[in-house]
Amino acid sequence: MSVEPSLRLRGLRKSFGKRRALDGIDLTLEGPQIVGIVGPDGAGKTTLLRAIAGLLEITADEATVLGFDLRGDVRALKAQIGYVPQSFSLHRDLSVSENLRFTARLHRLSNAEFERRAELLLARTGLSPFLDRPAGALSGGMKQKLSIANALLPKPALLVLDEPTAGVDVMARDEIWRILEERRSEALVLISTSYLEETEACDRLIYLDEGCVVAQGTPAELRAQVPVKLLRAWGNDPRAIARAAGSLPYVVSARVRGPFARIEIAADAPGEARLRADFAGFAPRVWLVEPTPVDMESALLFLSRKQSPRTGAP
Amino acid sequence: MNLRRLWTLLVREARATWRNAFTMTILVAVPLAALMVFGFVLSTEVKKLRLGVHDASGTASSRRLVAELAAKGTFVPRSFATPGSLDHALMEGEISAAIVIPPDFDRRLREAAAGGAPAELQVLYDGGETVLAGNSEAFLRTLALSTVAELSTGARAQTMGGPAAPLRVSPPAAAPPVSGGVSVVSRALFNPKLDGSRFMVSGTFGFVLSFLTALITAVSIVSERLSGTFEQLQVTPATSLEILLGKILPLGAVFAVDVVLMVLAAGFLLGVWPEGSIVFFVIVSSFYVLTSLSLGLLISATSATAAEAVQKTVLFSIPLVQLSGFAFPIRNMPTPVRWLAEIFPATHYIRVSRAIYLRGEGPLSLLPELALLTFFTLVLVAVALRSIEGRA
Amino acid sequence: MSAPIISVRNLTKRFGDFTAVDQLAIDVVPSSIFAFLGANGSGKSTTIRMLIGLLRPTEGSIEVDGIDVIRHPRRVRDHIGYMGQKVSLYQGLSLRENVEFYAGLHGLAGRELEARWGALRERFRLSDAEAERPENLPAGIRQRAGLALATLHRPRVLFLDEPTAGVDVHSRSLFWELIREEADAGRTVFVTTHFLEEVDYCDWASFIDEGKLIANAAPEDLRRRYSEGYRVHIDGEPAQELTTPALDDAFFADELDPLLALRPGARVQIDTPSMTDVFRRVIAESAGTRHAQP
Repeated sequence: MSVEPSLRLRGLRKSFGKRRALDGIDLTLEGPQIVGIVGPDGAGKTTLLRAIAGLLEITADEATVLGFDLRGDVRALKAQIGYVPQSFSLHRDLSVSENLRFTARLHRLSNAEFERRAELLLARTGLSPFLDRPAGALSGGMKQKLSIANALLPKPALLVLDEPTAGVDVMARDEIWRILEERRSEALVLISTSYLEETEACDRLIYLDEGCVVAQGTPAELRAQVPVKLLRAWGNDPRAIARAAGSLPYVVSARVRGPFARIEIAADAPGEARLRADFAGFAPRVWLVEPTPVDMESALLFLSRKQSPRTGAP
Repeated sequence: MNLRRLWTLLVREARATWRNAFTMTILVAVPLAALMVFGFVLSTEVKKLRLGVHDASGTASSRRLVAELAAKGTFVPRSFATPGSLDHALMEGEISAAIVIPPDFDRRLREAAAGGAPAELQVLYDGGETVLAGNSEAFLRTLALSTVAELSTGARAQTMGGPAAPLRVSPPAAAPPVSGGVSVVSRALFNPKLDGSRFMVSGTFGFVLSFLTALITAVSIVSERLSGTFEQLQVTPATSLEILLGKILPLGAVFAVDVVLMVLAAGFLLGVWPEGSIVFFVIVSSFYVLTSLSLGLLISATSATAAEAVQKTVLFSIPLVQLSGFAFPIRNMPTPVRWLAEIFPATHYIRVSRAIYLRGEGPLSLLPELALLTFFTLVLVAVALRSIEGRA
Repeated sequence: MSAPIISVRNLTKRFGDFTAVDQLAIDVVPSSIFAFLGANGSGKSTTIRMLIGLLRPTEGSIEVDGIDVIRHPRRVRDHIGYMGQKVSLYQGLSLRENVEFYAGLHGLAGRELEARWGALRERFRLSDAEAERPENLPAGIRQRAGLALATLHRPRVLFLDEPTAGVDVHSRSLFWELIREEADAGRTVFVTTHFLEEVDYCDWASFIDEGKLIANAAPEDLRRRYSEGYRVHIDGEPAQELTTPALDDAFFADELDPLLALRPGARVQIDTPSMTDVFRRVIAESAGTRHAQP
């Protein structure tokens, strides 16, 4: 039975004691794609992913994942899901191949099927030389890759990953994303991440805060929602520039970023001409004020600021 | 060593421990529960033992013997018509011990009084319950002998030597040797009622203070190591000795209170007070707590997870219970095992604890044991310090 | 150039046959932010543990603030502050009680502590969290609290091991502002991170791979060496593109300004090589060198 990679959630709620972790999630995702879940700490990202993976008892007006009702018997759903939690959850004393074999048996994969899939995944993850090593002895990045290979083994229609790249170095992250991108056309991939670069690589982004979906859309759509203009001021002393810019009334934020000062001004504000004028006589010299397209960082910062009055953040 | 730093460490450890309701409950409830279980319920005391009696003699003497056995309340006799039914009842567990009075009992007694061979009485008991059996056998033996002696000489039996023993109790396995017609009958000098309560209570301290202290310490330290706070401590100016004391002194204080609670509970609830000085006992026990805590520290240093620490502590405690003299006398063990027992600090503490509780001994007579305990403590603390240093 | 506050020479650590760290040499300038980067299993954590005196090296020398760390590991503890990957806050104690604890270990108490903590609390935005227990605080606040605890006793050097791991964008940004303030106050910050864009907040970056140092320079110099450079697009008929290894006075004065003078009001767009791409290149070149060797 081929399963349609989609999910529909309406009014999804989950509480732990008095704490409302999910406070009415409305989310519809159709078709294979990579969806990034982002938001501040404590927003409910992990809870949402666990709920979708069928690990939690939830209440909802509607909660259909891959055609299965989350509120009912989720056993059939679990056979179609690959789940990678935040902390390593495979058997540390079993070897790489033993772990995969264990999963294959759980999903009742035939031997031939298992051999074929395992060989493929091990090659893609670079774990082939470590077949007999106990999983607990692998380095952090390799553990994550093994967890993902393990989740992908039964070719799930839905892949749920909770910060799979946290604490993982850039090379391993690149490899992980190469693997995920291969699944992009066939499976629904839900991934929570705190790396800006990774959010750009997603087809769709869901911004969560305080247990609700605050914003969603393609990265471009999210960026377009931000009512700020982004400018980069290049000069010899970006710190001085940032400090000076920060005191200007129409500047929302000014931060140093290496060789330039990153300045956000309100979208309806005077604009770069005004900034140029203000910095005309500045010393040390401001070489250039360059308007630049709003990036994910601005988008995410704006979304978190928008919520500030409620959460009392940071 | 900096006292302010030590104080800071103590305050933190105390706060963290006392706020942990679960740990505090364990620290108070388990010792008291163990005391009640071992001292009261599991007492190896001989009391109201169901005794099967097959009186094949049916004479005044035999009936008198049975009456005496029943009189002190230690035994509750039940008559059986045939040896077979007696055996059956013993096997079924309906009775714990049995005596068989032979048909010629009366005649043999009179013959023995006149200088002939002693009369015989057969004692049967469930060998499976060795400790109980040993106690009850000894008891029966003593009681039977003294009763019979009374019967034949009309006076209270002598405990040593005296006229020819008119009675031989069989099986003679651990029986006093008969030579020259004199049968030496021993009497438990320091536990005449063979009262198991006092014996077990004094041993319980050793068990609780060895097992529970090591367990709590090991788990607490492993958890701290895993959470990263231990590594953080190692980067502060706190010395290893300060860290060690900061950990074990607050716990030690709680256990010292435990000791006092246990002494009081044993006294008021079980009627068991130490023969010797309570203050001395509490001091020695508190000192032993430090020993045990250091051992706990050592276990935690060699364990990667809390579960592992628990496993190691339990594994270590099993031989501890068997070999320390807590439940089984060391005397009866083969020599190499006895030597092994001497390595456990617990063995020595239990000896001291029993000495104070049962015999009222004081610091002077216990000096060698105390010195040995001190030596153990110093060694354990030194090794624990090395493990805190932990530089590879 | 002032004398380095951290000086490492020939640092080597072997575990049996395995060499975790191989002849490392680093100099860290006072009051700077030094990024120490590397893959998982590259020897990064081992190096840091040696620098703070928790691990004894097999070979080499380490000097921190004038103290020989190998011979006197305990002496260095009052000079450094450390924030490990695992949180250093005790659960079951409030943040305030944690502060009193760590302060007490450094001999900081009473009015002096009150003054110091009061200022930190303000700057680090921890006032609301003071009475809370760490398990009830979100990651961003816990990380800031960890930093506050590390710097409480005014150490000369701060060692921060992946301090922003798992922290959201907003809190990370604030965190780095605080690190910059620490450096401004005269503290040297030795930091590791997997968010490579954070290297742009730092004054220097070194990269360790398989125990060896494979890059060691200021971020701009790394860009110069390990990227195609900045690409500057200028709108107009026709559009123009300039490439330059560095954006400095010379480039702006000699190349860009004259062009812009010819096209007043033209839009300029600069493609900046990201530090992430720079390090991909660093690793690729290092791997290439390694494979080239017999």
